[in-house]
Amino acid sequence: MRIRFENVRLPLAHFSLKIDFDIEAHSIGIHGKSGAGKTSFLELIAGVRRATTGTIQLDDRVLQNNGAFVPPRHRAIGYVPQDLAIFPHLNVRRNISYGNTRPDKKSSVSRDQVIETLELGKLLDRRVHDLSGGEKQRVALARAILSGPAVILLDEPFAALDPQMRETGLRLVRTLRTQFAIPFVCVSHAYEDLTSSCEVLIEFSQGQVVGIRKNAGIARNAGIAGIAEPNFGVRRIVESYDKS
Amino acid sequence: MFDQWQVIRFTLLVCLGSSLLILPFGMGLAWWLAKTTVRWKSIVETIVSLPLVLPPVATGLILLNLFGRRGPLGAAFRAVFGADVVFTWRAVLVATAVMSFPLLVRTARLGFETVNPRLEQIAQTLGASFWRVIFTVTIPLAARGILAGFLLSFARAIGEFGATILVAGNIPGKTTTLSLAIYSLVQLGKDQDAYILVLVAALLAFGAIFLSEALVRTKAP
Repeated sequence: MRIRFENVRLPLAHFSLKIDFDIEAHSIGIHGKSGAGKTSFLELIAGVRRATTGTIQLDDRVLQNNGAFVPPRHRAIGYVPQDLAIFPHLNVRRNISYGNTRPDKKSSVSRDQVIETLELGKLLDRRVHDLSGGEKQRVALARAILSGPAVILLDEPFAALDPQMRETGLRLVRTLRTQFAIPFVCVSHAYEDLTSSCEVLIEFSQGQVVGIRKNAGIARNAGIAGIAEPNFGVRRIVESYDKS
Repeated sequence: MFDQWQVIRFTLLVCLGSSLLILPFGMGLAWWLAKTTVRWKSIVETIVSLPLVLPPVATGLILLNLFGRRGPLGAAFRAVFGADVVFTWRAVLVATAVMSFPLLVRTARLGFETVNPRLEQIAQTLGASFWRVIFTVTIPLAARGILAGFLLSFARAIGEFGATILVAGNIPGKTTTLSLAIYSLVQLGKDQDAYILVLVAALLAFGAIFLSEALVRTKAP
């Protein structure tokens, strides 16, 4: 996946989000203190928030550009927010199938494979209030995967989990790459949660990118050739990403 | 002089009809009021709530002028359907609809305000169109408020008197509703008969308000 933010500006409560970068990687981790603008960054990609100015591009699609704005429903971007936003009036089965019927899918994964990998088989007919935090998370992730997204955005997927469940959460995020081959952007305030799954790590502070670096161990496996450096302007970070 | 069963049947039918008639419009307006941030929203809110505080007879007089044979709406209705509105059951429908509209809108709006906008956003990211979001997320989650509003508007319609008597008259067997029949019976000194209708009205009102309160109070799923 290639994400390009050019001159993107968005005023927030205490500062303005100012983002400028161009990155190509299969998995991107965003870290930084809470209130650094990480969630707003994801919301700009998902389209639930609109930047005041700038260009946002995903792969070869321009999602927002001065006048143009692709509405969230046409973006094919799976967003798993921190509060998960599971539909409380639908059971697990209907929750995970909600986006399954969209015609413009950008990825294709079998429903059975998702149910099996995320261990949802026994939960399908359950009401969602009865689910534990970890189970809810798996439902939200399955729902996003089954909508056939070009990329999945995860906001603090580990925050609500106890240390034991955290390990499972980390494993599930890794399955996005290993089992489903869906690119993702994962936000976490804890840097160490991202190092096992993200090729490129971006640090946010006060609404700006203050550091970008290649995660050597993972990136090597994925066959990334470019060199990452901290940057403050538009620069192509990873130049020849081998998609295989 | 009154067939009490006819009066009860007629009242239930017309009031149900008027509550159903205003339901789609009331839901639309309630949704808009819950979502919009435009500045002149409070003016719309005020206009919608006017029938709650305006003397019902005043509302009735305005309706009489609008829907009378020479009134703009009455003439238009006659041109299209070839029938009059005032002093027919249609006038009862119009009067009860207008008088109960504010209760529907105000209650349904509270229902729409409880819907977490996050869920609607996520539905959009999953590819749902505007109408799919409305029908599969917004309305099901606001359903309690909407149903409570529907019941309250129905109860209000049953009790309607002032506007109805002006636009529909009190024609036995034709436009006489429960409230109008009680008034007529008391005028005639038939208090006993009136009390039977009072009991029916009280039961209907109790049931509707009890249910709507229960719907609003219980936590949504």
